[in-house]
Amino acid sequence: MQDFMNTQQFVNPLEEPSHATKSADPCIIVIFGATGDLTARKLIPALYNLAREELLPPHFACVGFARREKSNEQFREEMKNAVNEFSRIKPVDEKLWNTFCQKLFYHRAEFDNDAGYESLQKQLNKLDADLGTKGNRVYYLSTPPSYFPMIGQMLSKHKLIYNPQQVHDKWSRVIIEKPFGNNLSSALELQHHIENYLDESQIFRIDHYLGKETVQNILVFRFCNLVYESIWNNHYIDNVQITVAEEIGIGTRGKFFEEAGILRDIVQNHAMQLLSLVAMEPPVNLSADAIRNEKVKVQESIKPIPLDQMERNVVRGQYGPGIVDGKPVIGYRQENDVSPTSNVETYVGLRLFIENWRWAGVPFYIRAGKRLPKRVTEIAITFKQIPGILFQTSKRKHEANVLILRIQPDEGISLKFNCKVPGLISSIQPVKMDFRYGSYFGLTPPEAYERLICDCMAGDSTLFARSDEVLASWKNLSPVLDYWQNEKAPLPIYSSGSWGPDLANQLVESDNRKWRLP
Amino acid sequence: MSDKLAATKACLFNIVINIHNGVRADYIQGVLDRIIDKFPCRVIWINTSSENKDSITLQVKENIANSDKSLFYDKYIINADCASSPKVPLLLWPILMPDIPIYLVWARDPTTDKVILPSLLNYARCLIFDSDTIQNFEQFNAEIQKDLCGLKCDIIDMNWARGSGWRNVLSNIFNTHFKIDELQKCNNITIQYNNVHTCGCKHNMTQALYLQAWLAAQLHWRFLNYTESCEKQVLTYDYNGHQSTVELVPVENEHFTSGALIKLISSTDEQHTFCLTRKNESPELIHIEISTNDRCELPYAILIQTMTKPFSFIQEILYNPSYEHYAHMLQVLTEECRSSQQLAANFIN
Repeated sequence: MQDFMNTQQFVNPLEEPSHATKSADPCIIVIFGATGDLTARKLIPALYNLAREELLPPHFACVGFARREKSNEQFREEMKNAVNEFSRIKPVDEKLWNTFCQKLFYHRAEFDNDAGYESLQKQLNKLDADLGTKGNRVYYLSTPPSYFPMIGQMLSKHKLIYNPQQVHDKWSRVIIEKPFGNNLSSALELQHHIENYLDESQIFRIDHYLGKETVQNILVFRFCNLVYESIWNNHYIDNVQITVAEEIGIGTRGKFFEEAGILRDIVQNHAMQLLSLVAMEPPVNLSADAIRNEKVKVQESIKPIPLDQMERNVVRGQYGPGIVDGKPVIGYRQENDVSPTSNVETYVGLRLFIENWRWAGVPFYIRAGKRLPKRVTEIAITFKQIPGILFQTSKRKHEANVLILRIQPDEGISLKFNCKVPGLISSIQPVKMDFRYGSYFGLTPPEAYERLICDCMAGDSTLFARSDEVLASWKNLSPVLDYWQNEKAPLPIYSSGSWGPDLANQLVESDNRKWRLP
Repeated sequence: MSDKLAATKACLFNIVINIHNGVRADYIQGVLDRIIDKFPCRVIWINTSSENKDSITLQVKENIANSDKSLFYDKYIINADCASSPKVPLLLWPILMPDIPIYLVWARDPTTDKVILPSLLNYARCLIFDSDTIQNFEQFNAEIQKDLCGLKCDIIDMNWARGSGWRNVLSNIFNTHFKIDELQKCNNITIQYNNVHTCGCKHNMTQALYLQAWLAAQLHWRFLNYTESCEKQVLTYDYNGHQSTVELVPVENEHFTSGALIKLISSTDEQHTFCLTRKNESPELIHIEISTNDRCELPYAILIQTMTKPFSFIQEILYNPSYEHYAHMLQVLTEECRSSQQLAANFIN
């Protein structure tokens, strides 16, 4: 009884029912790897835009932690150039920047050097005293994953992270970037290591797709519209296709990509998150855990791919030379930092089945690739065919209805349906009903990182991946990586600018279906 | 021409505005500009007047919604006098865009408009009005409480919306059993409001009155009496035998808008004090100092959502209607005005 009384929540009589009163606490964000690409392209512009929208807590500081020699002023100048180049709103507001940059600092140290963490501690304590940041900390690990265990250990050793069971008047959180391990065993190892220093409530695994407005809208679309939720099952849906296509190659990420491949880089995290959101059951409420519980259930319901059926259900490929956007481009093996005999995949096509009452028998086709004809991320839900009794004047079937959730670019939702062509003859033509964010909501939506960093400061983990989610996803995909490693599965070369290898078409055509042309 | 072809006609919702005799027109235009900036919509602007010539006109304009001219919106302007007001709804029906929300912005006492407003209320999502236009508060409250029980739409009083930042901050600070208890048992609350007069704002005391009535409603205080002394307005409440006074203190400060709340201090018998202040040099912050008899907490600041920031304003009036708290507050304020003619007179005058 006492436990029940203790767990009853305090209902604040001053809190207005429809108001989200979540606000970011005073804190310091320490970015490890601050001289890297992510900081300049995404993190500092995100913080700047939060400041512009008055969403940064007034007591705030950001400390860049990296190995290169740099002064505070040099760091601020570099970050100003970065914001000028990469912010979604340009140019930099000089007056705002002059205030904002006073909260940016640089700390030079090696990740494995005790003295560096001791001096960091001193610097943070001084900032607490000067700026009133109350000892709250966010550590953003914008580093290769191999550094996560070391940094976690050092933070713990130097008491820069607090045990939430013992310390109640301040908090510490760690944001880690994907990939969370390279396969199931390394993900487990990383998890076990992190657990030595951090409670799950302190770990924020960032998948920036979850911060996108269009991805957040999937839940609203599904669970705020009865008309769609009532047909969101295997009685009405024929198949689901998730496409994450990029027209660019690997660019300067050759070194990283040779270790990763597209399955690890895109499919294991972004594509599987989209699959979870599309396939999940309604959560019991909108708390972080309730939503993530349902996503984990989806991952755990995915039917394992038997080894003898791997090549029928999984196709990989690697881009060769071709033409993208009208210009000739080189193949993957000719890129910088890539082995001329590389066997790393730049394309993956998958067929998955979710074994539950809602989705039994519905194939989920996932494809992700580089150097495809265009940049597009979408979810296409194809509905079943009509019985074909009416309006059937030829052997050709009418087109099935397709609901498309366009994640990026040209964000929006469209529905393809059949319509009579005006005239004396009853011809049927598919047409589209279209909603576009740009037409309705004139404002520029916040970037994913803005939302995610703000949520972390406010302690809301809804849009971050939980450990069991990540491990369940690895459990589904690790066997694919092992198969490629051991069995030397085919790695066809596809022309850059095409939609991937022919084998990928066969994956879908063997089911009498075809890939949607986005 | 090629620019126009590439542009999109945007329409997230319909917004129907009524200005009577030009009163508050500039202010409402400012509100509209902030809405259009974030959410391009179809605007129907109705100018009514007290004349009796039976004259009615309708104009349509296509306006640019954003700085890069990629979005346009339609603005309809209806001018009607008293005699032709009944025809206004007939002009409206064909021009309202179907299947998207209708927001009504009424720059006049909505309870006194029996001609145009009633036919729209059944279809509207939200009625937004300014309590600055109310002549008889008690009658207004009675009508609102009666009408809104049957109404399907939300109501937003812009004066109430303006105070949302302070209410939000208070709910963030007094966010535990203990702190609510401290507030319940306070012996004095002082609220300073900006008494600088502008032609746009008639009743500088409104937000202060709303805030204290809201606290009283949510904390279940019972109103005892109202007095005035040395320009201060003092309201006394009772909670389970414990008396608290609320002092409304007018100050003059050119840095803030008329009627803006500037400071709130709550103190208990045990010298436990919460002091919330907006400072001239950082009007977007509320600085908080909490102290007890034997210690002071480190001061800190919270961002206050002011209605000058477009997105907060839109969020507040379009997406965060909080009828429950507003209705309770109105109830308390009505009882206070009923009990004290002096207060009623001050509030309206």
